[in-house]
Amino acid sequence: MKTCITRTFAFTLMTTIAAAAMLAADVSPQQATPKQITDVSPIPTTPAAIRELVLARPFTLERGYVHEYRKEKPQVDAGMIIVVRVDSDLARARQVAQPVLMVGAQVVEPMNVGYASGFLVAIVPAQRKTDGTVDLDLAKTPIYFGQPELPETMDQVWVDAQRRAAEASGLKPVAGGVAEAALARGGTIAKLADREALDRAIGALVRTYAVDETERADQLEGKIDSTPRVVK
Amino acid sequence: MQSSRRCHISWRFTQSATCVASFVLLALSGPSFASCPSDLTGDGIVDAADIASVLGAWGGPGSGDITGDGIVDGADLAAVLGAWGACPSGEPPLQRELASVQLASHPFANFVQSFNAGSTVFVSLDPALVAGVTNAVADVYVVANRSQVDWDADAVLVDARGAPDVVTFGATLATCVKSLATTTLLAGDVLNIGRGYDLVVDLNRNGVLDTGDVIDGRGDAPGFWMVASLTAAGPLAVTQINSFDTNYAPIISTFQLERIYYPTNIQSLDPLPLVVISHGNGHQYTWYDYLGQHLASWGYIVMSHQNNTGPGIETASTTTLQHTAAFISLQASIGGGAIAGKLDADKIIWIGHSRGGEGVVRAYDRIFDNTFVPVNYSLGDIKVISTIAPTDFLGTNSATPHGVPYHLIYGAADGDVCGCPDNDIADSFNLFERSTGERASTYVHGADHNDFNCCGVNDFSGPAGTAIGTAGAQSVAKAAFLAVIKYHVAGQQAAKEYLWRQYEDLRPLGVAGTITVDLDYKDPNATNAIIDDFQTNSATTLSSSGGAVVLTVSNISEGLMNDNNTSFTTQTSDPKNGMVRGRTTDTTRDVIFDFTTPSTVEFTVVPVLEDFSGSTYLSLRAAQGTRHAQTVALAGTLTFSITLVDANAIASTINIGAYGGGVQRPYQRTGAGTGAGWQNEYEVIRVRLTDFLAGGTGIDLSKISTVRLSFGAGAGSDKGRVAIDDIMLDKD
Repeated sequence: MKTCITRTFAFTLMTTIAAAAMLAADVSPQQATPKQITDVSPIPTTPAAIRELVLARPFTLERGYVHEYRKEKPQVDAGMIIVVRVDSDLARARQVAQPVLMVGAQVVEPMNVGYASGFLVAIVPAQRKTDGTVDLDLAKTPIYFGQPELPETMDQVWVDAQRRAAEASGLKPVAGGVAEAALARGGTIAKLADREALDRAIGALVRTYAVDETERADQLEGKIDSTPRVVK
Repeated sequence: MQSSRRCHISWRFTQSATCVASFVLLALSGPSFASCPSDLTGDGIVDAADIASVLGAWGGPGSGDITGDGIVDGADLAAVLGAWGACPSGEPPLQRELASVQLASHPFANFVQSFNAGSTVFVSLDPALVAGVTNAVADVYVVANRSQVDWDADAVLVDARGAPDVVTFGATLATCVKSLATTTLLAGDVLNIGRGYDLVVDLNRNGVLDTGDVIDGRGDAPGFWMVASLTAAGPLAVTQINSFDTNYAPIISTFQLERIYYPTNIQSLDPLPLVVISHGNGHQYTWYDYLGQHLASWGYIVMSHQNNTGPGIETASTTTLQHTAAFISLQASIGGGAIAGKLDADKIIWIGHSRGGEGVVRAYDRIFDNTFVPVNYSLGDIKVISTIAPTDFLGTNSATPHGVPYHLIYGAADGDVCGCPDNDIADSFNLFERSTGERASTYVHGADHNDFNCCGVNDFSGPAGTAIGTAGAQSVAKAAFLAVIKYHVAGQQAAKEYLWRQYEDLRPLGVAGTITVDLDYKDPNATNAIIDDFQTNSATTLSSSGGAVVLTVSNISEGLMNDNNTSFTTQTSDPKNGMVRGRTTDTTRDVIFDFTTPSTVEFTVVPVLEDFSGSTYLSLRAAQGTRHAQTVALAGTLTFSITLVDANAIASTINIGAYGGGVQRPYQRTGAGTGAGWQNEYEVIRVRLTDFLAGGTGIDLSKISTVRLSFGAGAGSDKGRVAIDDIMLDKD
């Protein structure tokens, strides 16, 4: 049975449907519908805010990687690791399109599922400033969920539209104090070799905040069991 | 040379013209049954008595001179030894289908090839078609499968059970279907799911296959298969590597891990095919132990990989393509060399779940379109693709399996890739309908999206009390995947009927009897003729093959299988309600109609297609129209009758319900509008053409003029709304 994630059941008791309720000329017969169960929450409306910025830590990489969450497939060698607390339904992993986590006009790469814990650890690609620091001010850039889509198909036009929609809906960046606290919690800039090193740094955060996702944390941190075993 | 001597067994069927016709049609073209010169004693068997005859005449001329060289010598002794065993007779034994499942109504026997281990096999001989059967007492042998060469060399009957059944046939078709004591027959054979047997009715009871006898399986293929449980572990112990780090540079470091399963004794086996599992969004590569262990125990190397599904389908497909390459490239280093040299990279199976399902189809499409060129495998190495509830983000031109064998398994209670009418992305069957190769689908009532892995969130969406749970869904999945792979990759014919026979008729062992499953199947490569697939000639009065269609049913609509609005509420403006099998850019079409009184749809067979005798099955698929008034009123399985009419106006009719099952009532899920019933559930119905001869109808299968589908009281269900598609003749 499903044991990994706490389940929430929503029970809906459907009642008899009368033919008279149907559209004119569209006749559906009267029938007794059985009690239905659905454990699928609808996708929340977007743009939607996060609940809290918990942690932020800038990083740089000696060797960059391709950001698959954009149509343009930009190269990334700097950015911000963030931990955000969110509405679980926004984080719920879906096969159909799900809300896209964004920071300003950039699509973020979530590194865990976050449905059960409500915490998402994510990578926000950003540019480097000339002084080597990361060019991203979370006190001036909103963090939000854009409309459901496949990130790999999203281009600059789309992300700009999402940001405008977010701002039009009244979504604001976090307060300066919140951003500072998050950065303080994250610590100093992480100067890393490559994406693998970034994964390992993120793994520790997944372990801390998404306690149900220790398997994911292990994978990110490279703590794997590669011993062949007879199992059957 | 000594003149030929016929064995002393008479041809018993000559009194029946029908039988002669059947004999001419079905008799084998094997070696002569007319000559047995080494049978000097004339007892039908070349044995020690014949050696004695040679020795008794040693050195002289005469009856022992088998070679005709004028002297009885060592050459004649060699001739006796060379012909040792039963003599061929004057006429070959009759070959026809015998192994069957007993039916409660006409045609009383369903001739099939696959039987679950422990089940009862029936033998059926139609007294109207085979003379000498009426009230006959016969020995019925179950013989370990012999090839035609083996039968030619040795016709002595040896029953695999120790002794044959003694059967007394009756005088009617119904009383000539006899059960055999087969429940203890061995099933499966190491990595073969089926163990083959030939079935012989020894009418003359002489213990030899000869003139007058009837055999099912005299060719190389057996008469029937006794099939091991498809849900039980195979014969091999399995070793598992929980996480193998490919460190394969083309894959982003975050998604380089694989879980690997293989037979523990792999180094003593021939190279094995590779099964690749690509998980869905938010899923883990570690969630498919049930499947990896199951398939490995049946002789496969299984690799489940981290899949980068978050960005989308293109990225997921790239991950599958690269992990496949990585595994082939790194095989020597996996498990400390455990599988080195034992990977058959020419046989690859891709299995994908949800976004990963669309991903594997997209991966195939990219190789097909030459937009991705694998480094160490090719398109032809992908032998079959199987998907679990795939998404359809990419649509008509990019999410297509093309002609590769394709399988789809889908849970009717899927709350994620829901099969909803308002979202083409969630319509898994779009991909199935695009498949142009051999294809099969497994539609499972009460299963949700994550029942097919261990640990996904609960997304069950259906009536209370109908959830079958992970164990139930995975029992169906294990059987389906094993059958699909054994059939397509290993060529095991014993698996094939598990892809299309109704679950009510052939339910894999280990799948609970309460679980409802619909199967759809089509093999364009085995299609002899298409009567109507509704793809061309869009007028309802003209079939795609050009024949006239005469209808007395109501509210008929022929067209694209695409629910044209966003709900499953029945509306006259949406005749394709419940059809979530195509986008507006797709081309898959069918016909749907309803009936409340006896009604027919009659297809005129164009002359060029009139010869049905070279085909094995009349095949079509059917689905009930969800939530329609007549479907709701029927509230159960729908049945109807199929009638063939020949050029002499001789008709023969079979009710599809005779075989068990019928057209399933749609899963009673609500939502997406008013009413209960989810998407229209196509399932294939294949009727053996020779069944139309049963009882001596006299119909001439070589000159069929009409195929008639009859609905309503007297023909099947008294009311209903039903979709029909792909009326074809299959050669199997």
